[in-house]
Amino acid sequence: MVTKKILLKEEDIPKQWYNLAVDLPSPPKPPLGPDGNPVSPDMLAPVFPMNLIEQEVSQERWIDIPEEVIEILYRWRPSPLRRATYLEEYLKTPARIYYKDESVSPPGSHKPNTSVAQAWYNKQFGIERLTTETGAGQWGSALAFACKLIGLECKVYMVRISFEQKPYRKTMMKVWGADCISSPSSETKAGRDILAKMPDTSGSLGIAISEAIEAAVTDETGKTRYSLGSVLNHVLLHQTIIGLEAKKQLESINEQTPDIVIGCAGGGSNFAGLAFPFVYDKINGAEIEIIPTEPEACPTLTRAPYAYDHGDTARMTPLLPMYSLGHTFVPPPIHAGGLRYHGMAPLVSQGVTEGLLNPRSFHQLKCYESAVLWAHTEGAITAPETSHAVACVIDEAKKAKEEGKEKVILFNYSGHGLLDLSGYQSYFADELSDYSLPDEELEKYQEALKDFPKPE
Amino acid sequence: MANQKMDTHDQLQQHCRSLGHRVPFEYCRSMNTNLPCNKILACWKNILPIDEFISKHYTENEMSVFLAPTKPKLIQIFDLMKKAGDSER
Repeated sequence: MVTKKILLKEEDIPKQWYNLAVDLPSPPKPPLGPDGNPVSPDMLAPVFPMNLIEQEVSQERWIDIPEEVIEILYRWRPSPLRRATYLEEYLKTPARIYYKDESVSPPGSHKPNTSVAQAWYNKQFGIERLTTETGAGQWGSALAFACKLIGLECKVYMVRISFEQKPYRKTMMKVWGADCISSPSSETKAGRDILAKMPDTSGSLGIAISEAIEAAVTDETGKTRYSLGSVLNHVLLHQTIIGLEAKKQLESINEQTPDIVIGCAGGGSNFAGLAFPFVYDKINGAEIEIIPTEPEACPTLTRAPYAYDHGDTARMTPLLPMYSLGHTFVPPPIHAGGLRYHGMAPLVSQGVTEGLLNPRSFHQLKCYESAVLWAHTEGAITAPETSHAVACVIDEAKKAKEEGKEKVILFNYSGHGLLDLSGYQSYFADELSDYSLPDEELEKYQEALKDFPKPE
Repeated sequence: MANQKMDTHDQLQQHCRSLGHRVPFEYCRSMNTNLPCNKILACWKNILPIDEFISKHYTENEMSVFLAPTKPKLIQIFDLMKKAGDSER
């Protein structure tokens, strides 16, 4: 009988996180501020505790996970490595499909891997209260959970449109003792200014971040800091426990190194968590295809970067105006430091730039179709984001069948979709559709772009 | 298209990858203090003639505000931190 759940003993949980920044052939440069000088993370001391800032810039390959953090992670970690045998049988694929089940955490996603660590480091630094922003509430509920266990107050500014559409995650935060309020709020100057101008605004993540940061910076006791759930190096670092566990679990059943590693990439943290330990292997010679997946409707990694910056102080920055409206309008340059992908973690962007990662995008209908097949075979209902990884897994399993190859596919099942069923509702009501850009539109774009610089 | 109103597409919905749930187009065109989201062209370009919509309803000055490339996260946080500190003083 094929083992379906590969469980790691608690004593075998990884004791260190892996820091990819040390091993990238050319790590991302620090971002440049308005004066052209690098913004060093220690300039962010009013919003982050120094121990996390040290992790943000660390040049240590391995960073110890504090015992107290591990004690809390034991509530759900090591997370199971499961084998998707029912899907394999359905697809009649020779591929062996494994997935790290991060949906088993109390908030139902990978997010508490970093929220617990961040809350702990803040507590060690003498902080008593954390603030953050959230959209649908996945991150807000993960931080609320962590703060309750660590003993910190938690204030979550939830974008008003999400606050109204996602009542259950709001309730989850309340259950864990957090104060979740609709943003913009009247509690901050940033919120009051917006409300004065636009009382009916639906809010935005930008406003919610402003409020969360203001609440941290203006606390006269100095005991409040801000917490972010993705993008930054220390967040990705904390997530690497996922991939490190997966390696041990595969080794425990004498499985080979995966041929393919897949994760959906929003801001990059769940993808990085699984993939970075395997990127280390790839840098050291292993043949692994590592695929971040994303929606075709709003791709970040699968289109050319928004802007280039060659570090020239004269700001003669060459631009690739991917989304330009033709020759009459070009987005203004930004002095950013290095090649960037829109809203993506710098370490993931760099991995793409260096050819270590091969991003792919998927249409929403295919993702829901894949998620439904997953539910019919493996049983679980996936989060909408995770369905992009599932779609890619199914493609790769079919490809393995066509090629007759026994490939090993590993992916990150980053969260369940039990609080995100409205997308499934629209799918079953035939309210979703995929659109392709008409040929004449494509030609128009290409014509508009023909005289602009191309990526090297 | 010539007579297209600002609210023509407002009821169309799609998943917002920033917020993590479905939002109407109305949100995407107004969430940035009544200007569109920075990602509006990328997210809607395969669904509706978004470039024509933008060209028709916004000036180049406005476009230069909302289509400006997003700053790196650390820079955004630094800017907001300074802004919050300045407003306190």
